[in-house]
Amino acid sequence: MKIFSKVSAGTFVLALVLFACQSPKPDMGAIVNDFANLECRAIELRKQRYQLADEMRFTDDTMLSDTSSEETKARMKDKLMKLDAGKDGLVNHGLQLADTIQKRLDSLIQGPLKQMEDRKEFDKLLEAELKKRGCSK
Amino acid sequence: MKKQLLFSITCVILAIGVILPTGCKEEDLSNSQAREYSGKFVRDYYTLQCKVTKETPGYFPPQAARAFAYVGLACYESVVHGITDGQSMAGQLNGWSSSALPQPEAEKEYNWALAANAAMADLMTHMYELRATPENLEAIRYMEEVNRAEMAYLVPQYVADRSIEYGKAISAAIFEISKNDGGHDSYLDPFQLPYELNQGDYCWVPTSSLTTPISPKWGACRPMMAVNVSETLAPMHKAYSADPASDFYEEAMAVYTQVNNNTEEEEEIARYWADDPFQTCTPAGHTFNILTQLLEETGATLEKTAVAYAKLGVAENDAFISCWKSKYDYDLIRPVSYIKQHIDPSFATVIGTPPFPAYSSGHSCEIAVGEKIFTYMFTDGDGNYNLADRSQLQYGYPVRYFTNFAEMAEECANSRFYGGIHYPMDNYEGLVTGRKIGDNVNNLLNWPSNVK
Repeated sequence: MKIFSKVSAGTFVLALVLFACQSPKPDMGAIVNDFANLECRAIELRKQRYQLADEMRFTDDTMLSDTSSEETKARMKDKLMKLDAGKDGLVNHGLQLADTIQKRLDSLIQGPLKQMEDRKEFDKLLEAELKKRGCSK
Repeated sequence: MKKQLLFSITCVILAIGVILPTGCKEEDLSNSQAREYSGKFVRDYYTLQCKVTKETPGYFPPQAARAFAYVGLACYESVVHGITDGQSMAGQLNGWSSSALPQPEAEKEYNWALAANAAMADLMTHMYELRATPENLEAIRYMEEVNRAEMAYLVPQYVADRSIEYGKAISAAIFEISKNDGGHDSYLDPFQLPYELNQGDYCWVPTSSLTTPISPKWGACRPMMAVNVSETLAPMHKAYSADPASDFYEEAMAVYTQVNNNTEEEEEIARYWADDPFQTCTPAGHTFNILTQLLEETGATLEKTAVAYAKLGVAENDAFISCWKSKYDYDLIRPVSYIKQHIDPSFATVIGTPPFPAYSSGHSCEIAVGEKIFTYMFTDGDGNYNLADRSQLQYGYPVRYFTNFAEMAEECANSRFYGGIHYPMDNYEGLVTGRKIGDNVNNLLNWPSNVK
């Protein structure tokens, strides 16, 4: 009988130690909410980049078109220069945000999202959260 | 009571004894095999290299692929002597003589992580130093320093010094090899001027006010495996013709029809894989980012990590040489130019057309080498893998899901069709070329087997 109680106590302590070593279940709601803040900004910046790139490319097309008058070409060139001036700021902002997101994702993967199952849940919840906020379709 | 307490304490000690060796072990890893070290620091270097590539002017896809390749090889060569049945690429790669690289001293201890850390930081610096921002050069230096401090803990000083010196010697030797491959410092002059445009109806014409194409002489660079260019070049494309009944016209019409009928998802796919050089680390960088994720997911040690980056590096480097040779040998007009001339002058593509000839597709070629390397390294040969590609979250794209690496490669290739950038034949032949190169790298070089 005594040996059983000793074994039970030992097992209990062992379980405690093992339990203490296990990482707690991540607070997925908070993680997703925090990440969605970054991701919504990244989506918005992406849209702005494409809008600018399209505008630059169509302006470029008009300028290069054989049928454009000299006056149109000069106007398009001026527009292109203005658009180009705005590009750097947008690109730099995008690069900084990309760096922040990458670091955040890496820390999540090393920490609370270490388990593949948690990552799958994160992907699913993030997609839903971005849709809920109207950041993605 | 005392006995009970003693028993419990014994249990705790035993438990700690069980947990510590796997969880929180601090030990001297001198002369351990490469598989006993974590591969995390190597992945961190690649993440950093992606950032440096994005932020260094002149890094277009061919230049980026080359830089990723040499850094991967520096990692591999600095640890290869710590891999059972590992064989150096010296004597195997084109232009790498068997005596080109320094050897570790016989019977001496090395810490392979310290060697790789030094080699990667050193070579990465060399690859970008003439135009990298001071912040990025400092980031490389800082990463090396932090890693070194962590890795050198409990390692005898003389072992640490020897390992670091060895890693730097490997980097120096590989940098010397790289200097005469035709791509040295090419980021300083990525347009390789002067270049005279060819004349002919079929020839590439500028698709924007950028009047010179990117890296027209890249096809003359030395491939790491000669066979990757000599036996993978895309065959002659469908004969150019403006005749609406011709096969060529049909190719262009397919692009025209596709672009005008794209679904929302197809447009999203076109943008997802576009990987433009101003915001991303190029298509090759995207594939390396996927590799980084795969290595993390599968818990790869330094051993497998080093092999994987080296393999993908060799394959990506050669993919861009082979593909670029096709591009400039054939000098084929882009769909947008042809369609505007012969089908609809108001045609607009979904994404911007990159400034170089159409045939074959660089994206298709480079992702196909990824498909082959990943299939070999992460599956039992069938390519099946549940991949949730999160590497584009940083640019505001959603996660994309694939169940097979071939599916991933084909979507990437098709994205160029949806985007209006490539004819179907460009993508088809790009995939064929890339898959051949991937197979060559997997099968014709002697890599260590059963890496973990």
